[in-house]
Amino acid sequence: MKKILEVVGLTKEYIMGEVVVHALRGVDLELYDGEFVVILGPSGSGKSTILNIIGGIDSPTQGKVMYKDIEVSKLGEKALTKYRREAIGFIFQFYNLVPNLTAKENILLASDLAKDPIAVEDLLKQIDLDDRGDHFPSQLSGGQQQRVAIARAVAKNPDILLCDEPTGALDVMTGIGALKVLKSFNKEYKKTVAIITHNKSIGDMADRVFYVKDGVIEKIVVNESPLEPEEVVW
Amino acid sequence: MILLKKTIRSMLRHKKAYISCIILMALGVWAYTTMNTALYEIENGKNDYYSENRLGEAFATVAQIPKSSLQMLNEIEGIKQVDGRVIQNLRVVLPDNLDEVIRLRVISTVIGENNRRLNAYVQTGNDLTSTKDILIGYDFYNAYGYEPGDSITLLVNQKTYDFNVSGYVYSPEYVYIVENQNEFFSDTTKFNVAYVDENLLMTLLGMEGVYNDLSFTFEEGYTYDDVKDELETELNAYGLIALYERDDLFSYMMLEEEIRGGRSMSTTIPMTFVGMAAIVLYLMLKRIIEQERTQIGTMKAFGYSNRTVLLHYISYGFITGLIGAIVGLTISALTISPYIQFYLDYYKMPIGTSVTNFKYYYIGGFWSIVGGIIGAYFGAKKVVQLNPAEAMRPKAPPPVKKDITHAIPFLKTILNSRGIMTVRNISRNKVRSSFVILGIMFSYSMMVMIGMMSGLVDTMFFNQFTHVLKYDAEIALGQMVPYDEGIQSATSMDSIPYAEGLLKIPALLKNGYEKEGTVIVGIKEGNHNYKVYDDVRNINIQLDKEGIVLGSLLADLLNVQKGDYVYVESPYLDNDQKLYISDIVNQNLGSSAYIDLAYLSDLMDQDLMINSLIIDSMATSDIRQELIASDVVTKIEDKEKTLELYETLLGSYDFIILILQMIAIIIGFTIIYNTAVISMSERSREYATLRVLGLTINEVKEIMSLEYWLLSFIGMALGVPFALFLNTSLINSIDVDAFSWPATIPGYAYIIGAIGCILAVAFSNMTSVKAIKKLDLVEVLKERE
Repeated sequence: MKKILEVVGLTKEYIMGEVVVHALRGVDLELYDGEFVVILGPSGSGKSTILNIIGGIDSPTQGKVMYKDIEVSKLGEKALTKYRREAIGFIFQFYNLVPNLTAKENILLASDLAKDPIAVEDLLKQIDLDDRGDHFPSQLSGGQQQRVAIARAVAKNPDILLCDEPTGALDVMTGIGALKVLKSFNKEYKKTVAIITHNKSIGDMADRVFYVKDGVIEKIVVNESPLEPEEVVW
Repeated sequence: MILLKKTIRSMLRHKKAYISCIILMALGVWAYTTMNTALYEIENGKNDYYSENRLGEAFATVAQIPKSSLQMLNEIEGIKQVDGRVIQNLRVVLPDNLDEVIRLRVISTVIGENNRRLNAYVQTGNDLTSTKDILIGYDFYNAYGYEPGDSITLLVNQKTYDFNVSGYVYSPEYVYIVENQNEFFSDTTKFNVAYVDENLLMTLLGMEGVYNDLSFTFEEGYTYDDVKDELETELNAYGLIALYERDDLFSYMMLEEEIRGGRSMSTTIPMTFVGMAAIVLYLMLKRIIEQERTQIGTMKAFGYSNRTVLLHYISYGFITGLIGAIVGLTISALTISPYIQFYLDYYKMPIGTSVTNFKYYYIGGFWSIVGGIIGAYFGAKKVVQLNPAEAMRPKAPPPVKKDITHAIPFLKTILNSRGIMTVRNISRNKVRSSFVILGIMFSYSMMVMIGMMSGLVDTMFFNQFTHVLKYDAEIALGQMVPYDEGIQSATSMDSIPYAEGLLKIPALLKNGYEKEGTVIVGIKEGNHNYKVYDDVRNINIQLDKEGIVLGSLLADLLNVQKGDYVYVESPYLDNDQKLYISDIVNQNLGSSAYIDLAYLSDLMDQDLMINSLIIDSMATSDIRQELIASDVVTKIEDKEKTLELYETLLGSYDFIILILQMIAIIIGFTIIYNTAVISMSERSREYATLRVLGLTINEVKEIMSLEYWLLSFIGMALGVPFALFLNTSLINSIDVDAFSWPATIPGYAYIIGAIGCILAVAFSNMTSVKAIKKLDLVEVLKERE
């Protein structure tokens, strides 16, 4: 598989009043085209920080992030926006759908930005909400909202999907539903998917699992035979 | 104490929004307090001044009436006191201003009896003690640096008389001093009043034992209407020229009108500011409180009562209102004296500028605080009533209702998802959207009116000096002279290559019960230096050979139209004349009537006569020097100098308009900015998501600004009828003979208003860009909805 993103010597320090918090203490990782990875760790381990820096919504204190041959960590505001627009699809724990747009319009909002978007109708079918495209977020369940959020991230046809605790606000069944959608997009559209979570079970469906603790990657486990989402036991 | 700390910290966190609310509050308090207090002091001072100095309740001008006849007038039922005076405008000979025609209205008085006479003057310096003494109007005294004991020279019947200046005076009868009612501005350094001994003035004017002016007061329970007919009958025998009540005394009328106009605006405009600030506070606090739901739940779980929590949030409004009141009242205290002085520069009264009554300060402060409390109360009451568990949960999304995209499905086909977001944001936040629309509507219409005022004055004077008065200078004559003789005398001077003549006579025009005093201007056919120009039709009106043309204001007051007839009464006509109205000329300035000179001469049963020369000559200084000694010439008015005077006077007017325009822009900006801040705080998560999705700062700004542009457009569209409504109100509140307010608003005023609103929206949008740039994507997205 082709390397699509590389993180080298990433550190991140936050100054909280008079205290310096070391969120990351030198993280190195690589993501490959079309792989499904899970970044696993307890609360405060630094996994969300890794995701935010990779996604271009936060900046590192030291180290670099390379997307293909672009050094993301050196990009200015405009180039970072372009990077987010073209290369990254974000999925959040609390969905962050635009309340004044219907499910379909939320997806369109993203596809309007892309040069080569994926057809909205196809996406709605794939998330099994083709009959609810005209519903507003407040008219959808949490699981349905998260599926719309995933479809919205995929609609731009980005290379990498970054998912921040995508099942964190969902129950088991709806969580599995969301993971199935993610897996199907990973397979069908060959998207690199990176999920951060503290749920160890989700690691069973990943190609590789990065274990993060105290701001460093403790170990990387390669999964020879990843499970399907419905096989995962929570 | 802890809660107070929380209030202060929370307010500091949202300081910009609170500051803009405070600005609105302070503007309202300042405007309300200053306008009302100034009007109170002026009105109160004026009433005392009129009452203490026994301002006449009626006035009469006659050709001559013997002193002895006053007793007979005093016996008319209802008349309490009659005073006779000799009044004559006399030229002042000033060595340093020989080329200027400067005049004083010299009024006779009885030495030592000022304190019992009607229209008593208020003097500073020495009172009149001898026949050589003179008291002169304050501005005049001040402008030429007179001191008690100085000498002043007056020209009477081509002879000069020196008087000793005793001091300066204010006259209750002349709080607004103009030589005649057709003069728009008062120039008290060129025309003022003076008081001299009665016997001396009678002797100088050859009027021994007779008066030409009378003042009356009435017995308790009697009015002008009760005595008018009998007075008129009696006075006709003495050549009655004019008989009018106090309400028609020009200076009285001007001041009353000023106060009435001020009163009509002094509550509504300031209270609109305070009301708007209260709505902004309501919207802002509603949002802040919703963000603090969890805190409210926690406080209530600890045992804080609903009342305590509600009072805590009301304290936000109380503090905002209190600071607004303090700022507004402080600015008012600093500006009240100059503000009263601004009135006193126009209306000459010895009443001072200090404040004697602080009632409006208390009321203004009270309303600011109450406005703040009301805004906060309505913003807080709903959330505070929730039970703690419910308060600690995120607010449930509002139920989906059909919105504008359902009502107009076509919108979905023409708008992209960002456009749909914008229109839904508008239609789903009805209170906020309506408020922005109302704010823009108010701000826009205010700017249209202000734009109209500024343009109107320019247009009025532009028209007056380019289309109406085409000559370089006007020489007013104290008596009528034959047309050809007048022109010949003028053009015989080297410095006057061309001259035309006018005949101006005072007249009372009557239509049934409607009566209006005016000046009839006789213009010779074929002359081209004085035109009857229509400000609306932009054409010169041709005078009919047997008809009269009336100014539109005069026609309105007389309730006549083109083709009607009007009765004309004048001391220069033997009998009342019934004249055909050949046209009505739309004029913003002045309220004269115009007749063909030959026709006027026929009516007066005389040859072609004139009492005014209008000349083409730039050498007015030479003319003045040549004519200064002439007793026939009463005034030389240089058009250029008059224009300069107007420009000086309008300088301060322009400044006031600029300040009003700035206030209107501040209001527009404050409203848009505040709602944008609220919107930003409500939708920061939404905007952050858009940024993470890959929308640029400008693309996010476009969503936000499109919303405000659309609302502003609606506000401006609604502002058009509102401006027309304001204009109609203004027309109804202005009732001055010399000036009329046009019924149509010119196009440029709408453009000025639109530019002001566009600036306010653009400026507010610029600040929104800053807020979008500052969005911390990580933090915003971490927060739970």
